[in-house]
Amino acid sequence: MDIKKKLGIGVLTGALGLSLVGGGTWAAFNDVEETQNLFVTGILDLQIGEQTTIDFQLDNLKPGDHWSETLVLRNGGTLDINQILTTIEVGGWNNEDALDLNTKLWPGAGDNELEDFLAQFEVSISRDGTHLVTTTLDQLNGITNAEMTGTDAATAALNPGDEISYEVSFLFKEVDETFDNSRFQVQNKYQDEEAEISMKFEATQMPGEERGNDMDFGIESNGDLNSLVEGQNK
Amino acid sequence: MKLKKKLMMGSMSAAMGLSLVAGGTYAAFNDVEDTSAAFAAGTLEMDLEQVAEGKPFTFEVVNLKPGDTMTRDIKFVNKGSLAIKEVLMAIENMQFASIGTVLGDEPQAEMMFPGSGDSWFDNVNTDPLAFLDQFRVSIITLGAESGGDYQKELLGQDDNVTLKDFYLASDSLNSKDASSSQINAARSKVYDAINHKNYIKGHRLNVTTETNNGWEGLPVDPTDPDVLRLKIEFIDDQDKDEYGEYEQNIYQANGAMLTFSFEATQWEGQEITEDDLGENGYIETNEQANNGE
Repeated sequence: MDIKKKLGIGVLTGALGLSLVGGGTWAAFNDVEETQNLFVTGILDLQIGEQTTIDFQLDNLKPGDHWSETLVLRNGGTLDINQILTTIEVGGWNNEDALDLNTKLWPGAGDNELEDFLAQFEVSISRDGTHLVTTTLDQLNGITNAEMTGTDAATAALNPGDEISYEVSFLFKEVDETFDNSRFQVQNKYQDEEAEISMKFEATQMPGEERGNDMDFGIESNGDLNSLVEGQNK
Repeated sequence: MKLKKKLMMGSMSAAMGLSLVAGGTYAAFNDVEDTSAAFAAGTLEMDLEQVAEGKPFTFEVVNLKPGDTMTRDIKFVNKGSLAIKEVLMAIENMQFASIGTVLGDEPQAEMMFPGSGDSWFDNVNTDPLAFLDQFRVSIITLGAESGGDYQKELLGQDDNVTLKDFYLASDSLNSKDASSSQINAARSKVYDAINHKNYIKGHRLNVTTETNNGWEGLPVDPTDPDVLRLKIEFIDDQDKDEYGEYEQNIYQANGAMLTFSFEATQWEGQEITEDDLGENGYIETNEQANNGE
């Protein structure tokens, strides 16, 4: 440590000493002001009802079978939800040749890819009764963070307490087409095949903004922070 | 989500929010929900079986003579997980051979085939349809395993329908060497002869029983194999030609190979609801006739 720094510390200590001495003087009159500052965060909570989700498990399907699911996305929090980003992934599939078409017809006749299998399932989606789209599962597979509410970055898709209801219909398409010079239907290659659809819905917050005060903490809550925080849990 | 958990998450989010805000990004709060769904296709598969050991269901007979009869029972067994609605029978293909076409010129034929010096040999039949016309399909019985009301006789001895008629009338994958008027004539003859018209599906025959109940077709649940009985007889025609030889002599050393096909079909698609499901989402009604209706 050089001599200049040492001197500086000496001076600082001197100043502190002075002020401390000042604190110890007689103090008759003074005034103290305080401010109460409150920061309570909101809750961003996307909810899917137990009875209103897409969680079907179906085994032993045949072409022509169809079923419907209702998906309700609800804002169960206290913050506006800006967008809902959807990711869909299909897995758990294996190629099966239950009828052994590879032997009965020709090598490869009983084989197919995951995309071929998924293309057999037509999906029709409506939102609150309005038809949105009809497509096939292979088109939905691999969708990543697709915005499904149709709102931009500045618009709330879902206000607290509101919900969007999607009706989703699935149809195992019935395609009346046989292999060349054979009675075997082409769709036989899909017998005994299965797949799992995983869907992820991510709700995002609105952009940050300059905020004024929402309340007078002292008057509205009697100063009880716990009840305020608990009040966010609607 | 329980209240306590939610509160904890709230405070965690708050903590995360602060640190992320410090990092300069604004999209800090989010919530992620997952769903998972699974679906699997069933199997539609049928086997042909013997009704008993040593009772073959195919016709593989040589050295036939007029008056011979052949009766075969074919058992249809559902080996899949889906109910079978109908089993449609067709004659897909026919191959024919005659001693006249196989052996060629007469001297060689005489050596190899001692009978070939006879007059019939000069006129030996080479027409496949004429040969098939010598075989009367005298019985087609469905549900032969049970009897009673479930047993249906589609065709009897008196109907005089031959393999030629069936072959021509049948919807086939392979084209036939016959005119459309021949085919149409055969179709109307077979149609008129079949006792229960509802078993005629296009130009094929449904060979499982139509009962309009849970036993229709080949359900998986309950287990209900059906047996088809076919009886074919080599017609014994007593007509003789001018030389006193039976006219049927020209069919000696003829041979035909017919390919029958049996297509098992699925029931119509149905709307799947909770009522259709058993454990693990297994669609039990797809094992049953008419979707369990």
